[in-house]
Amino acid sequence: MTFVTPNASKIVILGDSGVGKTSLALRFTHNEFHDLELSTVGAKCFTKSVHVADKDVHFSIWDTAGQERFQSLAPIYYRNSRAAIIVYDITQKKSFHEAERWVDEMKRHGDEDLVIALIGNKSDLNEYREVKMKVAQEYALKNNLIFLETSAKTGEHVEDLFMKIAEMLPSVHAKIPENLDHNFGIVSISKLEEKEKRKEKKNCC
Amino acid sequence: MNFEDFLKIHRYFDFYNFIKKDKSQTLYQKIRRGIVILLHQRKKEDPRENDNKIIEFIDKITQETVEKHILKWNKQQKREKTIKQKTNEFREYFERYILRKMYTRTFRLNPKEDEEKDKALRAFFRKLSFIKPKHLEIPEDLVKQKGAHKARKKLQEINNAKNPHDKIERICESCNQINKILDRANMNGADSFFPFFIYQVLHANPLNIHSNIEYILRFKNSNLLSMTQAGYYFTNFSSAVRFLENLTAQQVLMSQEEFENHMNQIKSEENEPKYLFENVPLEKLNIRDLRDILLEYKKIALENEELKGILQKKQLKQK
Repeated sequence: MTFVTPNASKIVILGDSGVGKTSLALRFTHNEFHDLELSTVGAKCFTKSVHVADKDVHFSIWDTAGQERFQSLAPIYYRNSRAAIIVYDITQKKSFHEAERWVDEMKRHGDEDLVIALIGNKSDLNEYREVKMKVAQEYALKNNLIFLETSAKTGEHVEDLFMKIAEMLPSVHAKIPENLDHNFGIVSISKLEEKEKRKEKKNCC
Repeated sequence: MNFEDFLKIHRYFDFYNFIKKDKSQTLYQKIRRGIVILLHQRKKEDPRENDNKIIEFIDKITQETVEKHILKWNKQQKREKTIKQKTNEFREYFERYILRKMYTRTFRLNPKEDEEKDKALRAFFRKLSFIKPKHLEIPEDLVKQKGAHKARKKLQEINNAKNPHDKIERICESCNQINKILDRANMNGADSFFPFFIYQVLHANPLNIHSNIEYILRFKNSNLLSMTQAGYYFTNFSSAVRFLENLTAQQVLMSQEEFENHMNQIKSEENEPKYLFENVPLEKLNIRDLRDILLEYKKIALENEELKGILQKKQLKQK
């Protein structure tokens, strides 16, 4: 008898701040979108399982801080990840250059079989476009990346993106882990929240 | 452990009570013997090797305990949990119990070096305390929110927790607090979470940060650390510490000169007495804080007496 080994696929989302990394993950895992006025998520590791090509893939999606000053910390986050989603905003040229820099870094320091996806987000804002689709597409082709333009707001191509990644992932990592919380011998977050709620209730009375 | 007891245990609390209730039982004896042998070996061999042996011992004892019940468990097919889940639960219980018992001897690999590093890091963080929310581009009022103090408090409790599981639990609780504050301020995602978390870590300045991170890394499977929500929070914690360790002037939006000025300024203040909890409102102090304050005052009183003694001697000499 062996202990459950990790077989979730860790995915790290990189990109400049404000390009919609969190929204993208949220759209995929909860099929929701929050405008600035209506947010209900803090920082999280988003999880979801999908079934693709006769295998189950369990995603564990890690959101990262995109500000320039935190870039040197990125290796801590992408360690052990199976795929990297590099996001830019199609209405901001600067974020595309930032994305190119990330691609270079992942090519140099990531694992050999790392799946890299280049994503142009906010495709619903086509009229303000600053980055041409053709330019990005050619760049992606040259570097052998998955390329898509998505919109976390409308949900366009978000599902496709994760399905494509799931297909590309080696099948070794394609099994749903049982009871991931206990797996690590760690408190399940939901349990913690329950505890806190109970405490709050006590305080009111 | 017979099958009925095995069924009854659902939480660590149950497990702990079961062990504690009857110390003559074979399971308790087995754990105790294991711990004694491991600690004895630790004196002679490389502590890293010993760490691995401890982990092996936890795995082994879990296996032995659960293996007896597999057949019966599988017969009753209505159960919600599979035996694998149950095994993982029990591994957690054993890990918490055994590592807690061995805590004082296993906390640091190289006691002297690590302690020095901890002290240096804590002093360095204290120097950095000139960093204000604006330097990390956090809205000023976030820091003054109700939960912010509690989040820092939870971070300080990391050092009080006596096994890796509990330590990580404290980090999670702190992160949940921060998420709540961010929710109220309608901010989301790691872009706003991480700078705020860094600010909290810096101003909480928990004891023995370096050793605590190393301790968790030594006894937790690194693969699993990279998969779970708790692992995500832990990664945020260790990278926040890494960020602060290698902080440069640019990263806090300052000129090199200004940054160095700040660093030097606080150096000169270092010799002045530091009062604990001076920024904490009175009603938020709990018993543990009060105890710390008492200890602090005792220290000051002792120092005063020493000074008095020195003065008296001087006066005597002069006469």
